[in-house]
Amino acid sequence: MAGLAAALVLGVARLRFDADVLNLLPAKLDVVRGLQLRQAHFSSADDTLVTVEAADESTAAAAAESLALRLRSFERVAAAEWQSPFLEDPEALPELLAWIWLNRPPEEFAKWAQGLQPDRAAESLAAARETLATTFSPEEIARLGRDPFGLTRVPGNVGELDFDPLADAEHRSPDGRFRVILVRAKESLRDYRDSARWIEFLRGEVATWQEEDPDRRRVRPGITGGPAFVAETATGMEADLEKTTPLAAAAIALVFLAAHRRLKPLAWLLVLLTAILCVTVAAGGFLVGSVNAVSLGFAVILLGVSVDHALVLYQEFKADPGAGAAGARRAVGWGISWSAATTAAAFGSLALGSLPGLAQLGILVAVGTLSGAAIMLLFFLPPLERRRNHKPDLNPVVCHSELAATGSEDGTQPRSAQVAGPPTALKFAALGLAVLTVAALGWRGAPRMTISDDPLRPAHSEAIDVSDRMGTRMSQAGDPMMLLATGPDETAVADRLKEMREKLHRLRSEGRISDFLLPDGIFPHERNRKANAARAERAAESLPRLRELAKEAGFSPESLALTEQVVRSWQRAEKGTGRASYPDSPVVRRLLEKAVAFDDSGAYALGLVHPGEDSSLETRRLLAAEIGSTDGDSQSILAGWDLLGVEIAEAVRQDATRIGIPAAAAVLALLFVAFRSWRDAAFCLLSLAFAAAVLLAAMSLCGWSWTLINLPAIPLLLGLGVDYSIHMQLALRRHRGDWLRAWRTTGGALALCATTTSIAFAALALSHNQGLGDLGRVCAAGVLSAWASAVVALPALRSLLPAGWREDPGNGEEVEGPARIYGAAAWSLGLAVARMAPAEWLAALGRMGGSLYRMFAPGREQVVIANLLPLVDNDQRRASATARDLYREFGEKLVSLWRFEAGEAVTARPENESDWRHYEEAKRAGNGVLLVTPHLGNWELGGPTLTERGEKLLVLSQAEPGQGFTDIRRAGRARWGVETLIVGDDMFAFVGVIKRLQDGDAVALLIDRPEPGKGVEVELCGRPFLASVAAAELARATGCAIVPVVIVREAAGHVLKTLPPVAYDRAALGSPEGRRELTQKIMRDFEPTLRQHPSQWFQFIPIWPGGDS
Amino acid sequence: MAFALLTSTLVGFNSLRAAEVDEALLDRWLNAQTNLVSWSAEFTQIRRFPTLTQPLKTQGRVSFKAPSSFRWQLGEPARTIAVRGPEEALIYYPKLKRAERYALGAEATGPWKDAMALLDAGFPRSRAQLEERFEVVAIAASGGTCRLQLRPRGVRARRLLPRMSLEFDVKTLGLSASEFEFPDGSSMRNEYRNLKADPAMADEVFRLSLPAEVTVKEPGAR
Repeated sequence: MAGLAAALVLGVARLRFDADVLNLLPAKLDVVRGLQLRQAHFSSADDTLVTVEAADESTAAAAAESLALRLRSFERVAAAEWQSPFLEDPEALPELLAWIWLNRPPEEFAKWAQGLQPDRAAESLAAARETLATTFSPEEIARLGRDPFGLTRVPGNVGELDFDPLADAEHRSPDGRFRVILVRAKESLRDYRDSARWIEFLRGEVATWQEEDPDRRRVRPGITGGPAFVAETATGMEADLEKTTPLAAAAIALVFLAAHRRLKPLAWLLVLLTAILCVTVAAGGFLVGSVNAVSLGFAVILLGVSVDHALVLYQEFKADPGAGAAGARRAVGWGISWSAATTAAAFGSLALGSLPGLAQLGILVAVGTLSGAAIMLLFFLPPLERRRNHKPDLNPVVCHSELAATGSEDGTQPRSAQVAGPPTALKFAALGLAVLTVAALGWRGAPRMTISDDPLRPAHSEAIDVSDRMGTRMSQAGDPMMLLATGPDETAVADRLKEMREKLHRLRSEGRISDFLLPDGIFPHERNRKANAARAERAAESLPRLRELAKEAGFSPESLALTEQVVRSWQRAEKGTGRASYPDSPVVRRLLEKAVAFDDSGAYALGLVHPGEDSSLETRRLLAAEIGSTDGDSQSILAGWDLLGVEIAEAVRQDATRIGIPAAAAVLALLFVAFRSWRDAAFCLLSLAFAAAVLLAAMSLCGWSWTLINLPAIPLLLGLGVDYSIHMQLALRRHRGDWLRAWRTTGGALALCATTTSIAFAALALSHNQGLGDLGRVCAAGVLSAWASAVVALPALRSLLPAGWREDPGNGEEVEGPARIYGAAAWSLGLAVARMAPAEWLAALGRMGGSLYRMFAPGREQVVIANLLPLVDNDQRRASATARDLYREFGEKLVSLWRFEAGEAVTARPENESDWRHYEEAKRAGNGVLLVTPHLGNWELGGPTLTERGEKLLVLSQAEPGQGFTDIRRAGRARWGVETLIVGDDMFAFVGVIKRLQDGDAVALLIDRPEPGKGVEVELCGRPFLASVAAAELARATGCAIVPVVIVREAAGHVLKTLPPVAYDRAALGSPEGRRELTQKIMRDFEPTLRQHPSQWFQFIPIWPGGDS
Repeated sequence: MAFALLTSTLVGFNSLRAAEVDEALLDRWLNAQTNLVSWSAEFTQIRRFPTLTQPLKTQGRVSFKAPSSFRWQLGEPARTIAVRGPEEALIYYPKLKRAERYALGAEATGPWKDAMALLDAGFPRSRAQLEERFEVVAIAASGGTCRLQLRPRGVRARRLLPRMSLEFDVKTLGLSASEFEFPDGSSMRNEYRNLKADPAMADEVFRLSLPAEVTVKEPGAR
């Protein structure tokens, strides 16, 4: 227990709450990877954007400046940038220029450096004067006076960089009335709670700033950016979890109370539901490590599914008070196990899909459903049993008047043998539902799939509203797309940027994009830096001469300030690579961090691409496909949030084929195993199809569509649809097609289940997240559809079919005959495996296989338990425990038998020498020896024990089921010199047996499972028992000696036990009573041995006449 | 005390009176501008830079035709010709065989448009037009010249050009000088002479035929 608790704590501790919506999406998609890289590596993703909007440009600028200055005054604010930082820190420009030049191609640097030669320098100064006198360009006027040597005229493409002091497109809209302040926190916002606190702080300060001056109330502030999105999404999700899960639990409690009016079972149910959640969360910690906010929807799904199991159990428990917890478990345990398995399989299939968020959800629900079913089956009823009053307790949801008309009041038996089919009202309800569904689908059509990233967003988000407004006000060419270049090192990325620039130029000239911004101008290039370092040093040496020349040309010393600062910066330049090579200036470093990044895996660059006039989604997708490429370790990705929907929809489409078919096959297989009937499996599928149609019709009428997030409704519908259908069909079977009794025990419980589950899902509709809300609505409708289909439409449909079509006898398994698997194919396979595998492995496998068979065939287990009860003095608990041992023994016996028939030396040793003497003594009489044995232990092994001693043995056997199986068994015995005679095939066979006995040979037969009509009633363990009369008949015909013999497995191996020959009066055998008495005598001899080895008495079909097994 | 009150009242009255006179002068000048159809003058452009020890002086000619056509020529022979129409401005550097074209239409934005607007900054056509773009900081008349100090209203224009002033002759109402002060401490002063009001002016004056070898760039566009 302590270990379990420790595992729980460890699992819960391992679980991380992940609020990043990108982690829900498949990282293999370039668009997702691009967005993830941007988020992970570029500082702009960490910036909070505080916006101000005013009626005029001046007010907006003044407000932005004032607010930025206020925010800067706080210790926790690292930066509040309301305009290009180069305007506020002129010293940063030389640093940036130095950095850019140092990373330029060496030939460009060499060309500039040549301009510093004495003759060229004088020319440059004269040209600068001439230009200053005549140019109309404000840029040249501003530049040349301070940069006569043209350091700011970087060749190539650097003009596109955001270092123009006038260019602050990042901070202002084109009309200047919308301003953006980039604010960065000093602390790291790693956790979503950090982001939430940070945004709360900003919101408070913005409000205070606005209150300080009445004029500021005319300014419209807003907050958006990465931390704002994270804070809103995560806190919203957290609130959802805090709100919807208790709400769902409360709804479940209310419905349970309304239905059963019992507090104790409700309290215990809630405790177990909490335990199931804990177990699942702990398992989630080990299996998935982190749970995304959207995956938290699992909690509600799980509550819904697990409470179903509890309600079905409780309903059965109440309906049949005499059966107790074990009885209720026996009645519905099978259905619960299989419905949990199918639900788990349906949700588990999501783990094979491309969407990590759905995979998490699928794994958590699958694990939770299985553990929930186990917890409910094991722990829900026993405490209630101890405390409950054993008075029959009628189900309040049952219509008593209907019950009175068709069944007994105590509810355990129908009043008469007639079977109550579904009432007419139910049939009309089913028909009405079908008509409505067809009409709705015909009128509105099926709901469509909406491809967008909207479901990933919060339903109401200030951050998104502000972001959208900012996009409208700031962008001149539509929403830009993010362009990422990655590579193993800075040189690889720099080379890739060069290629991309050529491609983007071409696209721009073709009008397919309107503009682009690449950081190639500021991207570090180690090779270039090394090559330029020497020339930079020489430039520093030429400074004194340049000062002289400038003075002569009429320039003041101030004119060379920029040149000197750049050169000094080169002298200070770091020699490292990556971030280590960055200049000291915080402004420059910040600029670099917006577009350049490094980590242990390599280097990254971020650019922007503005689509052309046609900026439709399809055009963007085509652009992404054309610009994106992978070459070895380098990659370029064009990404954007709007592309997510398209790309994910494509992944989902592929998943639907990849997962859908195996999942459907798995569910179908499970259905078959659960029902052991293709007909019932087909009914279940029909029920599912109808539920799906009803859901589609409901969605269509409500105007809902499929989205990326509500897709889990499909496995849920599959799981719950199968769940309800299994429960209902098994209930119909248990009650021989009596709908009212099935409704009373199971249908009513399922109504409660569907109500509670749909309420739980409906609670999700209140969620802060659009996707979760969609998921909740669609799942709630799906649950109700599944219930209506399984409980209303399915029984109605079954009732319309001819009787022979609709009912399967029995309780779900055919237990009157041998298992279906018992046949030639399985036996041959067993023989083949026995020839190859080591004996120890086989024994272990055999025992495991036996246990598995028991678990997968609970109906058969009930038969075994019932067969064992008289041997263990009707002790149910002991019988159950013995049954478990029996299955394991049987598994081991089978592999021994296979090895024996395959020719391996598997023998039984006599328990003691006196055993053999019993045989010798019997043989000496000369009338042959009839060896009789029950189905105890491994009786076949007795053959070689005799044949090895030179004895001839004939085994009497019934024909094995199926073609060829009898021959296989016969060959197996023949391998050891044992002959087989099939009784029942040949009417003269008995004559042959008599002849063999008269010749003094040994004949063996099984006594405890007679052929139909060949048994006589004897008493065994105090109960009537049918035993084969064949032994008595042969004794009467031949006077043979009857030697009871058993071969059982003990610790040391198989032991042959021979009992003293059974004495009889041959003359008395002339009467049937005489033969019955001899048979009784034989069985009485066996009884102690049977009681000693009950777990080796392999009886899998009902053996007690009049018993209920 | 009574003396002090009287003095302050008189001083206040005189200040008020002077301001009224200056405002009237400004209105007269703007009225004269409104009626102007065309205008030409010669000028001396004096550019002062903190980074140059001596100012740079260049002779030039300017022509204006209502409503918004300008032609500026610096140097004789021309070293720079700037022609401005309603939709675009073209600046031609004959010596460098280089020309620059800037869009000025309603859709054009950015610092270049603000810069090109300076070309006609000295020629407001009405009080409303003046005050739409500039805030009048001061008006002062002395020595037969009225000096009008202006500050651009737009934040970005102000960043480019924090202050400018216009000087006109109080008697003739002719523009005598315009001066632009830049944020880096440099300035550009145009001193006009030989002013001609409403001379006959062909449209070709405002069209430039560029030689084939001239490279035309559009710095305002990507």
